[in-house]
Amino acid sequence: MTVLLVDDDRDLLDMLGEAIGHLCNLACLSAPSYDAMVALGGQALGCQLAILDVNLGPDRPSGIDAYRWLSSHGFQGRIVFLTGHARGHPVVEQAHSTDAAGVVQKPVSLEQIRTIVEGP
Amino acid sequence: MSAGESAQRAAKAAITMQVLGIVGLTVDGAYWQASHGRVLPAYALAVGVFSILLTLLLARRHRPSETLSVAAALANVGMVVFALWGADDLLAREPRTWVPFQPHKLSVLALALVAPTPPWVGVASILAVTLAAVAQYLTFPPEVQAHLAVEEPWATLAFGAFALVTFAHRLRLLRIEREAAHAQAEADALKRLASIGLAVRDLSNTPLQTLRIAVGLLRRRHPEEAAQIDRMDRALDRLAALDGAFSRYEAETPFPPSASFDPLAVLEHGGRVPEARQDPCAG
Repeated sequence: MTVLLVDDDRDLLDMLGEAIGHLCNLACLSAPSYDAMVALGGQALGCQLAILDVNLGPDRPSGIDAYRWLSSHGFQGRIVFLTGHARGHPVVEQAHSTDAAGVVQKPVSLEQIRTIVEGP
Repeated sequence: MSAGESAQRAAKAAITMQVLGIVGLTVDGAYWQASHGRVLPAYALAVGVFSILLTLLLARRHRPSETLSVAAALANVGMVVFALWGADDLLAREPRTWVPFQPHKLSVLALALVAPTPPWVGVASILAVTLAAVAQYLTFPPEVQAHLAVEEPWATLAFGAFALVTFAHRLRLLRIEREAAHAQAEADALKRLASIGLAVRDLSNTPLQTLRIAVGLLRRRHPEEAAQIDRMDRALDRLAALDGAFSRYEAETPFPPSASFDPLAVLEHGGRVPEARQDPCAG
């Protein structure tokens, strides 16, 4: 199983990858932007879980756009949104309205990361 | 209301009073010219004084003085009372039927609508005009009082009382307007504070997440450093509590309809949510 991580903060990408590797012994594929994720193409689509940051930077495609790209390209895995935005933020509202497995508010603990990765 | 706004309002009222005085006495002067072939000297004097006061008030309109405005308003009332006293004294003694103190009645109603604050200026002005008419009535000989067209001084007193009630109502409306403006300003300030809080929250959550994971990994890899790591965890807990406190203001935050919310831009705009930019994925 490989986990796709999309977040515009490189430090957090590294930390998430390291935590998932340490806790669940899984490999991660990291993309710091929507464009980087699209560039990964089939590798990204082959992952079993995608953890997407909702906000990928102002005036840039959001995690919702990443979700739509994955869905429209036949992604078969679970998708979980991670957000630092408030619950009432429009883009977070959009995330809740998708069929994604969940929208999780940052910051989360290691145990919560393990739960997200292992799934229901 | 600030002192500056109060002075501005008083200046506008005083200017309006001078303009009304000039127009009123000029029209009345035209009546005198047509009916008696002359204009009363008191009228000319009053119009001259009003013109000087108007010039002074207009010259100070960009840095208005409440004291000057109040003085100008009281001087205006004094000149009106003085001018009307002379005119009414002549008209009362003429054989033709005369409806007494009409300008006084009009004046008190106008004062109720335009007299400047503080409130005592309006009350004093209305009382001065009303009582001047009553006092003048009492100086008339009985035969003059007997041929007046309207029952006096009761009619003038009724107008004075009505003007005072109208003035009190106007003051109440002004107070409500001030309170509404104050409440609106407070609501705007709260919204900006809420926006700032959530922008800070937005900016801090990702680094907080990085630290939370890093501390969690350190704890697993270096259990011998538990005491140090406990301190770091407690510090993170306090930051998380701050984050939770900001989240309570979320309902007050005016998010833009678009997703392109930039917390740094919100902070740069002092809590105002800037206009949303074009969605880069649109189309």
